[in-house]
Amino acid sequence: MSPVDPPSDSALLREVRHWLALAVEDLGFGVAVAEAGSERILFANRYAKEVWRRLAQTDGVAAGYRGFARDGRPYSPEEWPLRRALRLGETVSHEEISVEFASGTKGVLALSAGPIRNDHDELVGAVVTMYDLTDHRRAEETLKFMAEASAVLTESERDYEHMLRRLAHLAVPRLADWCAIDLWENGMIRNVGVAHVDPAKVELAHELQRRFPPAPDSPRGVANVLRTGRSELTPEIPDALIDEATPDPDMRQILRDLGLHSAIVAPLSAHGETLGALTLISAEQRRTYTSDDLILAEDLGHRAALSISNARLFREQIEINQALQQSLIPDTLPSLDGVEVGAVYMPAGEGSQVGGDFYDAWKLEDGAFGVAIGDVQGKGPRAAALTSLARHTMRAAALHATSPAHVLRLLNDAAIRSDFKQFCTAIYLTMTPAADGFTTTVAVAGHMPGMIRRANGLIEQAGRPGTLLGMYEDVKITDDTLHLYPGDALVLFTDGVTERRDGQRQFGEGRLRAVLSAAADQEAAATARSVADAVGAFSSSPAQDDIAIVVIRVLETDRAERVA
Amino acid sequence: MSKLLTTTETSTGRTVTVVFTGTLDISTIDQALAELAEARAEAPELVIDLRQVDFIDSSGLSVIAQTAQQAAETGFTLSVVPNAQARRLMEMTGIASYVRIEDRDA
Repeated sequence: MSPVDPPSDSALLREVRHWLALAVEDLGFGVAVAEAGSERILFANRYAKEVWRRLAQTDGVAAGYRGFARDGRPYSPEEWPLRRALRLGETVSHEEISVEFASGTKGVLALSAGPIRNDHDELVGAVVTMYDLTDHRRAEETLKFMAEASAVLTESERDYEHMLRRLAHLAVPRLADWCAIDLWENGMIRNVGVAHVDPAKVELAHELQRRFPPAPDSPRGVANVLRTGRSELTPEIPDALIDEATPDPDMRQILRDLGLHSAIVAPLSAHGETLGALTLISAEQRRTYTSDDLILAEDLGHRAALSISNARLFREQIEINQALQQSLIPDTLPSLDGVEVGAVYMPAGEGSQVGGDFYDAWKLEDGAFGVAIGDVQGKGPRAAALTSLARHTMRAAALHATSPAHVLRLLNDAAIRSDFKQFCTAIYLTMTPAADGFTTTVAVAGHMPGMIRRANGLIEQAGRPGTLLGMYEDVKITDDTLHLYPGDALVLFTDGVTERRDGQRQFGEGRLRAVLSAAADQEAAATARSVADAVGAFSSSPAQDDIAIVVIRVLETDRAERVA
Repeated sequence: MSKLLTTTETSTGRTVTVVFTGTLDISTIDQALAELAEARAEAPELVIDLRQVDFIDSSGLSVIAQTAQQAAETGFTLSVVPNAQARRLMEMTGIASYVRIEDRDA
């Protein structure tokens, strides 16, 4: 043959066929051709042979293996796509069939098939293509799981045990047949959640934990991971391993019967501390965990640990704040001769911030006493520090100051020098026993004046407005002296009461006056409670500000004694 | 949507006027303070116009109080054009005596 001669058609054809066979052999999906009648496989590429091998089949036509449609209905042998193409001439496009591989692992295959006809339109064979979707499906499920897990981990931070249980349930059955989460607390392993699709098995797990509590010194599993902070991957769990790790024969048999196949134990670690462990076990699904799954579990464990750590910090912060708050508000006010005292304090929010409201009462000389209420700008530790300063300065100043206004001016000096750069409002008043009641002197600094509820229900103002404290050297604060008769009550409150909002409406002074007037026959504690209830009922939205109410009521019995 | 709107106008390079519109309460304090800090850098005289504010409470008033404090410390001039609610709060807390109050028709 000379170089210029074109190759004969048949030679070209042979060559093309050869290339085609080579190309098809290495395709990234399975291709096979079967002959009609004999239903013999004439050709199958590497991928197809590998799929059949994993299904423990020599070829795809024998179809001894089981498959299931998406709704769980089993495929009969005639229903498989290649059969339908081969016998009925049907074209099947992308049918997803769930299968169980010989290893016991469950998977998903996508099958397509079509008939092959000769020039006379006679059905001579069929071609089938197949693709193993198992890994794709798993990756999709994993992505979905991670998205849902992220939501759980961020949303329910406060109650982290509930969060961990939800996480365990999310993992089943997508990542595992079993998921357990254990916490390491005071040298003990405490299980906080076990999940399995079958509730009876969850119950079994709980029973096993009761009968065979985990030993903290166990060389494998949860105990080991908690101790070392390092994860464990056991791709396949042979019975020998169960036997070795389980001294009790009953337990050993139960574990063997569960058909545990593959396991991962990952630490819940954050900030260099191992708080617990996450266990994933594949049993029924016979999924064999890989190093990719381990990375996923470790990541999940780390994120769960961060959430636990945050929740614990938050809890601690609330406890500290509550302790701090209690140090700012007296547990009980002192019992004072001739009056009864009632107080209500309601912090806004869940105690994550220390509020700035305070009140106090203390005895002075000769049966007299002082009462203070105030509100420090802002919240948190700085506000708490200024609140503390205010209370103690007032108590100290009250001993030698000439009047309530003087006490507040001394507090102003202290607040300005303190460098808090925060201001506060306050009322300080003294009550001195006198004929038929108490002589009362009230000084107000930037605060809402108090109210007097006369025994007959009339409401009067107590105190004249004065400058707030902590901002200006020279403040205008005046003493207002008045007389309280038996049955009269003095009501002090913070702006959380009058400024309680319902949309753009405020509770306001008018409503407060009405509530007080209507409660004219109530004792001090009941009066304070009535005001708090009315404020609470005014709006359904959560309060933005703390509420403090102090009521001092002059006792009627006092009058009886004096008259006698 | 923000509960507080701010417009800032500078006139003659000496006076900057910040007009607040909407709600001045605990939820908008930080925003208001930030706007004021920015405006203050522009001119030596600051005017806070509250006539368009439809709600102010004592938390909102702390914005005026803090700005008044800064004015006293750093020596800029502060004037406030209050609405009725703000005026009442400023009188009750005594702030009215320490800042220049400008009455303008609403």
